[in-house]
Parts: sequence; C-alpha cells; structure tokens
Amino acid sequence: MAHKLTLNLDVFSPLPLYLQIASQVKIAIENDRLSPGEKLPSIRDFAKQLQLSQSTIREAIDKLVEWKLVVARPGSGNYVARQTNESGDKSAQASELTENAAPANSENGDNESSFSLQTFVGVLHDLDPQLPWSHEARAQNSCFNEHPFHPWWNTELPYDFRSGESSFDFMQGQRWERIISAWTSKLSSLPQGYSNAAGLPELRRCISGWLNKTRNLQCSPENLLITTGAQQCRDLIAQITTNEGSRVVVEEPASITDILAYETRGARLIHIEQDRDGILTERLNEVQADLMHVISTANFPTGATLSAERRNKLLDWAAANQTLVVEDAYGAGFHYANTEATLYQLAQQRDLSDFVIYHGSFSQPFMPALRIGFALLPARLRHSYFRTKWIADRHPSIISQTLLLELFQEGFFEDHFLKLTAAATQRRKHLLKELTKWPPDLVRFDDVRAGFHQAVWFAQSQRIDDLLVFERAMAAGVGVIPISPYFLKEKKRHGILLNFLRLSESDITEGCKRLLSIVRSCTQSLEN
Amino acid sequence: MPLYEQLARELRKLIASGELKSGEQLPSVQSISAQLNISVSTVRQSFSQLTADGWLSSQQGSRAKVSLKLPATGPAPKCIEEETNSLSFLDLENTEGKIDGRSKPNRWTKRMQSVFEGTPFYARYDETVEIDFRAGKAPTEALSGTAWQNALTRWSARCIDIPRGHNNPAGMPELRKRIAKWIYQQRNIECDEENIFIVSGAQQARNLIARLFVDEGTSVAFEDPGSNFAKLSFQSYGAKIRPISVDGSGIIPTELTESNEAAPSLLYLTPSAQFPTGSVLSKSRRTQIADWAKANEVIIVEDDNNCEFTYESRQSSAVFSYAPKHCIYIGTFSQLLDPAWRIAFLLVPERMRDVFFRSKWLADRCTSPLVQTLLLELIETGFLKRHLKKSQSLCEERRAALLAEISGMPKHLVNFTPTKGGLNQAIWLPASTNDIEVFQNCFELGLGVLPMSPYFLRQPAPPGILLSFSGVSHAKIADGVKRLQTVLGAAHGT
Repeated sequence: MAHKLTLNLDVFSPLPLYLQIASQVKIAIENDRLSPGEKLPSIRDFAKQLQLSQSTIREAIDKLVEWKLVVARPGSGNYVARQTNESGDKSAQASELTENAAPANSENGDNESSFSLQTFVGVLHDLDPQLPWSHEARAQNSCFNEHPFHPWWNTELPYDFRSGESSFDFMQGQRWERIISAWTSKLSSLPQGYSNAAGLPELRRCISGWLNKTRNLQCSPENLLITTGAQQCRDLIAQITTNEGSRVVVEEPASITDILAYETRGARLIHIEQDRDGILTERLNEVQADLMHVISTANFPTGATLSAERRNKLLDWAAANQTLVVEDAYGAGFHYANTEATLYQLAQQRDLSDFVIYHGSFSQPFMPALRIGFALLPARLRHSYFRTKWIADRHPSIISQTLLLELFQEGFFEDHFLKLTAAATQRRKHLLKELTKWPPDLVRFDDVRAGFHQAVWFAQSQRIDDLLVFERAMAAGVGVIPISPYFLKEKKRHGILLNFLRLSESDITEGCKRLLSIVRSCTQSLEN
Repeated sequence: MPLYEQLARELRKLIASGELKSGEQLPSVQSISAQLNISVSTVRQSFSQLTADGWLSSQQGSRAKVSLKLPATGPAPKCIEEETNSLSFLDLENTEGKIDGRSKPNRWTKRMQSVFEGTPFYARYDETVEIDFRAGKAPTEALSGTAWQNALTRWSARCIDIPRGHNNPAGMPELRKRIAKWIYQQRNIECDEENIFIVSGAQQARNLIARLFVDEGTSVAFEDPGSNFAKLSFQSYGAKIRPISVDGSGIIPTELTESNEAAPSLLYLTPSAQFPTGSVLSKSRRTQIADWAKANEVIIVEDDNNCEFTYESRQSSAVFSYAPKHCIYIGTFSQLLDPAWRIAFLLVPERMRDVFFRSKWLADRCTSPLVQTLLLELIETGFLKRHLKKSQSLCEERRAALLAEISGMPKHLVNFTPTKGGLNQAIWLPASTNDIEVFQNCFELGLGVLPMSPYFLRQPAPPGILLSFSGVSHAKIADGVKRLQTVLGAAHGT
C-alpha cells in the first residue's frame, strides 16, 4: 500500500533536520502509517519531494537503519523493516517531536511511499518543572516562546539570500595559502597559557588603527576590547549595564538577538518605530530610558541608515537623559551613498564619549569562522567588562586572534575588505535592477544606502504573508528572511530581506525570478 | 624590539623633532620598504601603529601624512602591554575598587566587584620566576617537535577551506561525534552526541550553568578547599556557597546526606582530581552522592578537569554515569593542550538540552570553527591520544621526582600525601606558618608556589603550599625544593 506522508520540519529547531526526518518516519512506522516491507522512495526522489539535499536524506536513512527500523537492500532500495526492534532503539529524540506525521490520501498508484514537506517556524518549549531554573533561564525561555523566530539556519539552499556570509573566492589562491601556513607555523612557538581578557595588544592596535583609518573613529587601542563575536559583545554589554527593570529603547522592528540580551536580564523594552531614515527620534522626547540600542549604519531588518539630523537629535536626547547609547556597527564599511559620522564620533566631538558604546564584528561578513568582534567602551565600564569577560570565557581564542592579526599584518584583511565592498556594490546594483522589474503594486523598496541587506516590503493591499513566502521560497530552493517576525509589537509589516553578498549575479537573477512567482502565488492564495 | 617598532620609533623622533612636519606626506610604503630593505608588511605595521597612536593620518588609497593634530608630548603614553597586563585576569590580585564614583555600576557589576574583593588571590602571575610551580598545566614539551608541526601543517590545509559553513551553536556534528567516542573510550561514558556542546573553555561551561541555575541566594554546595575561579563563577550570579569538607577520598558525602539543611540546588565537584588537594573521589562515595542527588533533585556539576592524570590506581567511572539525568559533565582539553585555545565541552542531560542550546546561542553563537577543526584534526589523526600518553608519562616522572625531593625534607616542616589525581602536589605546613608569607618569600628566591589557605572557605585554614609539578623539569624540581626548604627553615628558625 502506498502512502503520502507529510513531514513537519522545524527549520529553527536545534535538532538537525535529518534527525527530525528520521524521528518522524519512526513515528509513522510505529503507528503503522508505514507498513513493514513498504519501500521508501529512493534517496534522490525523497530529497526532491522534500526539497532537501540528498546528504540530509542519506543521514536520516542511516539513522533509521541504525535504529533497525529500515533495511537497506543494496541495489534495490530502502524498506521498512519487517519486525521493528524496540530494544535497539535509543531514540528519545522522537518523543521531543510531538507533531506527528499525518497520513494523507494517496492518489499515485505505485508501491512507494512519498513525502511532502511542511516547515514550521519555531516550536514552543516548556522548561522541565523539576529543575531549579534561574530567573534568567525562565526569562530566556519565555522570550523565545514569545518570539518563536530564531533563525539558526538548518538547511542549505541553492539560492540563499539569508546568510550574511559572503561567497567570494577571495580567500583562496597562493597568497591565502601562504598566510595560513605562516600563521599555523607561528602557532607552535606561541607561549602557552592564558592570555589577556581584552585581547592581544598587537591585534587591538591593528583593529583600532584600521577603524581610525576607514571609519574615522579616533579610538585608541586602550579602549578597544576584543570579544568572541558580535553576539558576545551584545551579551556582555547587557550584563554590565542592565538591571531588573531598566528601561531600554530598541528599534522596532529589531532582531531578537539584539533584544534578548536585555530582556533576559529583566529590562523593560521601549520599542520605537523606524522609517527609511531610521528610528523616529521625535518619539524619543516622550520617553526616558537608561539605555538605547541602535543599529545606525544599516538596520537589521529594515536596512535603514540613520540620517545625520536624527543622529544629532538622538545624542541631544541621550545627553539630556544621561542615557547610554549602544551603537551596533552592523553593516559598517559597506556604503553606497554618503557616509554619516558615527554616533561614537559625534559623541566625541560633543564631549559625550562616556555615553556611547560602539561595537562591531569581524565575523560577518568577513569570516564567520573567526568569531571575533570588538567593542569601544567608555573607561567607566571597562573594569567591569574585564571581570565579566573573565567570568564568561576568560579571553578570546588565541587561534582566531592570531589569524586575524596575520591577515592584518600581511595587508590581506584590508585588501579583502576593499574587494568585498566593491563586489557588494556590484551585486547590490544587480539585485536592484532585478527588483525594479517587479510590479510596483506588489512590492515597495528603498535602495539600501549601506550594509548588505535589501528590504523588500509587500504592498499592504496585497495582504501577502511573508512567512508563507518564506516557506514556499524554501521549498523552491530560495532562502529569504521574513521581516514580520521582527516586529515585536502589534502592528506588523510584511516583507522580505535579501542579502546580496552571497549569490552571484546569475544566481540573484534566478533567485529573484523564482521569488517573484512565489510572491505572486501568495497574493492569489489570499484572494481566493 | 621588533623591526616595525624600531621604525615607528625613528619616525616618531623625526616628527617630534619637526623634521617631518604636520600635514607632510610620507614616501609610499613600497619606497620605504625598498630604501630600508625591509618588508612592505613591516612598514605597514609601523604605519598602522603610528596611525593608531595619532602620529600619522592615512586615508584609504592615498599616502600617509603626518597628523595635523599631534599627540601631546610629555609623559610617555601608557604602553598598551602594561595596561593589558594589569587588566587581564592577572588583575584579580588587585582588589582595589576601580569603579569611579560618578558612574552608577549596575547590580551585576556591584555584586561581582564585592565577590572578587572577597576572594583572596595570591599568585603574582604577571611576574615571571626562575622556577615556576604555579602553572597547573600539562608539560609544554609534549606540544612541540615535528609531530606537532606536522599536525599543524595538516590542519592548515583544512583551514584553507574553512571560512564557509553554518555555525551550529552546539558545535560541529563531526567533532561532537568524536568527543562522544573519546569519552566512551577514555571515561567509559555512554552518551548521545546530541547532548554534547562544544564551548569556549570550561569557564564558559561553568558560566552557562550558573546563568541557567543560579539566582541571588541559590545554594551551591562546594568543595572546601576548592577552586577560587570556579567559586567566583557561581558567586557572581548570587550563589550562596555551602562548604563541604574534603579528605583523602574526595568530599565527605555525609555532610550532604545527613545534613538538616535543605538540599542545595547544585553540587560542584572535581572528582577525578580534586583541586587543590589532589584527592580522588572514591567509588563508594560516587554512588552515594549520585543516589542522594537523584533523591533530592540536586544537579551535580561534574568538572572532570585533569581526569587524564590519575596515579596509583585506575580511574573511577564518572559521576555522570551514576546519575545521567542529574549530572552536567564538563570536559576540557585546556590542561592537556593549551588553555589559550578556549575549547571544552559540556555533556548535559537531555531534559536540559534545548535550554543550553539557546543559551549558548545567546552567549556567543558558537565556538570558533577554527578551533573546533583543530581539535577534530588532533583527535581524528590519533595525535591527541599519543600526546596524552606522552603527557601522562612526563607527569608521572615529574610527580615521582617531586615526591622523592620533598620526602627528603625535615618532617617537622612539611607533611603531605602523594597526590592521587591532577597536576598539583599539596604540602601542609606547621600550624603556626603564614603560608602567604611563605609564598612571598619564595618569590624573592625566584620560586613560584601558591599558598593553600586562600582556597579554604572556612577559617582558620590550615597553612600549606601547592606545587604544580607538571611544567617543571627534573633539575629545576630539585633546585626548587631546596629553595623552599630555605624559606621554610627561615620561617621556623632552623
């Protein structure tokens, strides 16, 4: 008897996709929705039906074979085992997945089962009530449940507009190989033992020099601290600045990563909307806050660049209220119009530098594997930072730090960054060219002025659900970031965010082509 | 002084003396490099240092110029190395409050500040000594030579392709699989690799645990004496530390099982190599503690630091194996390899897995894949296993050498039991001794040791000193013990 089964896959689950597939097939077998001896689709067909890679399916089948639920007959295919062996099964993972595969009527007459895919955006979790969770653990869990959109990307897609990682071939060739081999051979002569909590002094000097040169920040290596990626910056900054009940202004919409660090520590969030020029600073006059988190260069997810006028207004307000401003340098260095002075720089000119923290990353888009970020911290916070960093993880890994140092010293980093920004300019142009072909009554967008994401808003009249677009796009091999989940208050706007660093021009064209038809299909489905 | 610094110094002199004037354009990097016959990157490096320090201004794509606004001359600018040395972890010894009066430190900062200040810490790590018994890490010799060079070369081939790929917060699946296998072979722990998390050092493991389970007033049972660093991690989040005595067989379980107090939320243990006493938790106590934890819903934090180094008897099974639903296991490669890499792993009960996953994601997204592949390479190729053997035999030898030397010391001055696990030998001193004075006096003689009394939670603490023998060569061990005897002899008038 042939079946058509729907697998419910949570693409944001910590469980790998292959394990989710294996677990759900297991449940289907145990509930007799798949019969003993029934043939599973070939790995190729299986992958095609689910729009996933063959290697994911292969891993899932391997797991099922390991659990003795499926028998692989070389040359013939994979079959549901005749007798399922419970004793060989140690899959408690299956119990995690409460969404069971539901049988569907099958109209195809062949003897193979087939599978279709339904993706989920986040699954709610409960904390085990028997365990003595801290306030922070409880806050963390309820935040995650409240905003069940936390994209740890689980799948690889052929047309992926999601990741901030670039796909350029700059990190290869003889020069790159020479640097890598010079770096690794130096590692063997490094002194062993713990290093500085603030990072290697030489690297701090390189980074501050580069920031001074390219961003005109006028920072000194003394107040530059190296962290384990930008995420740790956010986390540690929140830890040393926030109290239970602190009032924290955040942009609306905003990335959950930017917010959770404050919210899990009991802060009260004040969401202020943005338009194409960034956060609406006139609204600030109505509020008082202890801290404000702002992405000034290229907002995530709106892509907006904070205008010069608003930068000054924001600082006026911060000075009047003694509010600490955390300036997230996401997207800095990638500019397609005038470069505005950073808040950090403006604050220095106005003798307000005690009120601004500036932080950024070398991971995205340069090299995610590095896990290196940096923060410029006012002197009054530095001492607390060092101890907090020491409690958190002692110091950034010497392995990543020495690689970045080598890249700086050999001039590779600067060259690479220039190439990256030049390529970004090209690809942004290409993406915009593609997008202008889209019907104006369907979407609306402002050419992004900085960064590497282009936001595309759906016309409200079309009532397009961006999560539906996201799911359908994924099934068609296209990765996009839906924007509505980033609106944390009631009024959500729908749109998608497209990263233009990762795909080649021809892939951008093809990706956009597929996307357009998906977006169209989503309007129709609502009208019907 | 490195070449680039010499060049920077000379240029600075030229600018300070006015030979190079504000706004003046410097020759190109290439021409300086050619003239002085040094590499382009060296010139670049000195330029970026001068730019960072405010002597030069360089715009992208154009040649560097002397700054219009030169840094104030006068007192020499503070050297960043000096500053960071005092600001690194070594600064823990400096307990002076540094928060200035004008700013309002947040609650976390204030609590951490008072916790740090309440923790006596004597090590003088920022000073080097001739004979150093303070290090507490595996012999550095084992991580050198051609085998190590070859391992790095193989890994570098891997790194050439590394910059791609998704970052799983829990770590690379291949590495987690390898670690599951490693702890099965080494520690006889059976586990699901999905419950393993790669973290940035054992300290991050402790920090994640403290964040998830410790609030103001949470009771945490802790070995007395025990590791100050581990204690700080819990106290910073508000833990109330409950001391549990340690004897030659590890912590004394009856202090938990027969106590009238309510059971603590967490119990922190270093069962394989108790720090600092070097005792190993006996098998019967392991089962006793596991049963008690299960009955009282206590979470055991098993820090299995130095489990590779046990002497005289075979390793016992990990406490985790007796209470897999109630135990969080921390494994680290720091002591064995290099702590500066920052890599360790956590094994958590399944019921905690999702929460740890999210917490790790919030803390730093994931541990650097560069470091992960290095460890993977070392495990896959069998390097780690060979390295472990080499380190173990070096430690055995050094332990024996140290024991032979201290056995020769006058019995009225020292008292010790040979260490059963770890890299340290504890030596107890006569009750009237001030071990902090001994530590300071040893330092005067070029000998680095650690005083024992600061590790005790309850006072008065018995005086003693801790000698980490793993990093000290034979010849130095003998010399060091001689110096120690001189100091102790002086303290007790012999």
